[in-house]
Amino acid sequence: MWQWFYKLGSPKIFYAMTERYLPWLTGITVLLLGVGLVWGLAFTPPDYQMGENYRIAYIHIPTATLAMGCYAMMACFSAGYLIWKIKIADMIAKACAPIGATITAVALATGSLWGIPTWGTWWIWDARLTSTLIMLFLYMGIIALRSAFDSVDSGARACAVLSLVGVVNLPIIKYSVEWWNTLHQGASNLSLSDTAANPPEVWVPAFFVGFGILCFFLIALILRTRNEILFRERRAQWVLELLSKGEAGA
Amino acid sequence: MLIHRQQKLAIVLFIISGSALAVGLVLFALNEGLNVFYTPTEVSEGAVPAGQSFRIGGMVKMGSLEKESLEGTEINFVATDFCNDVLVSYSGPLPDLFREGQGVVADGALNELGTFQATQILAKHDENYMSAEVKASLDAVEDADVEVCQQ
Repeated sequence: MWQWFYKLGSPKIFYAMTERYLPWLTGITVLLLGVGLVWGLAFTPPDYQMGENYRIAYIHIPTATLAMGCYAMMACFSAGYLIWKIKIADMIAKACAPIGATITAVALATGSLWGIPTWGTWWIWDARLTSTLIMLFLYMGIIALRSAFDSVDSGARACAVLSLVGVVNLPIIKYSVEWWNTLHQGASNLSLSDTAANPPEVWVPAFFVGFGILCFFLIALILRTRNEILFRERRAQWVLELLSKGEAGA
Repeated sequence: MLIHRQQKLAIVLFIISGSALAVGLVLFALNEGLNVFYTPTEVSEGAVPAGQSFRIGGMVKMGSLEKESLEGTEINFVATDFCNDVLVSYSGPLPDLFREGQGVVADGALNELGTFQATQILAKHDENYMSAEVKASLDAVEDADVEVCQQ
C-alpha cells in the first residue's frame, strides 16, 4: 500500500500508471453520467411544488459539492507540497485550480437558472451565494498568482499558502444556510423511506451524476497533471525518449 | 518526522488556524449584518433599520392572501414566523412558487401604518424534494403544515 503510494509520488511512475487507468475511468464516467442524467432529467417524478424546474438540481447539487471537494483536495496537496516538498503534489494542486474554477462556475450558473423561475431572481447577496462566489474568486486568484511568478518553486509556495488560507471558506459555505438567514435552502436530509421527503427515487440519480462528475474530474485532473509532468520534466531522459517515440502526442 | 518537516507542519497549521481565527472574528463582528432578511419578530421588536428599505422573510400565512381586484396585480398578505406577523402589501410580478404556506422574502420598507410596502417579492423554498404522490401520502398521515412558534 505505502509502496504503491510512494511510487505514485514519482512523476515518471505517475505518468506510466495513470495511462492504464484512463480508459477505465472514461468508461465509468460515461456509464455513470449517462444513467444518472437520463434517470434524473427524464424519469424521476416531478417535484410537488417546483414541477420539472427542480431537475436542474441533478447538475447543481453534484457540481456544487464537487467544487468544494476539489478545493479541499487542492488544499491537501498544497499542504503536502509545503511540508514534504513532494513535486507531484504541487503539480496536482496546480491542475485542481482551473478544473475547480470551472465546476464552481457551473454550480453558480445552474443555481442562477434554477433561481429565476423558483425564487424570482437569479442572484441575491445571501451568505451561501456570496461565499460560493468567493470560492470562485479564490480559484481564479490562485491561477493568477501562479502565473505571476517566473520561478516554479516560488509560485508553488505562494499558491500553496493562498490555497490553505482559503480553506476557511469551506465551512462557511457549508454552514452558511444554518448560521444566517438565507434565501438559499438548507441541505436536504436524504431518506431511505419511499414515503418521506427526499425519498431514494429523488436522490439515487443524483448520486450517479455525482460520482460521474467525480470520475470526469479525475480524468481532467490526471490529464492536466500528466501535461504538467511532461513540461517540468522536459529535459529528463525518459521524457525525451517518449517524445522521440512520438508517444507523448503533439 | 524530521525536525524541519515538523516545523513546516507547524507553519501549515498556523496558516490555517490563523486565517480561521481572523475570518471567524470578522464573521462574529458582522453576525446579524450577514442575514439576508429580518424576521417578523425582529420587525415587531423594532430591530429593523428605521426609514430605510430592508428585507423581511417568513411564511405566507394560510388564508391571509387577498387580491385587491380580480384583474389587478395588487396583493396583501401576512408574513409570519409563527410568533409574530407582518402585513405586506405589494403590486407587481410574482415568482411561480409564491403561494400560501410557502416561504417568502420581500424587499421594501415599513409605512407609517406599520404595513410593509414591498417593492420585490421572492419565493423561498425548502430542501424537501418529493413527488406529488409522496407529498399526498405524507399529508394523509400527519398535519405537516402545522407549525408553532419556537422561542
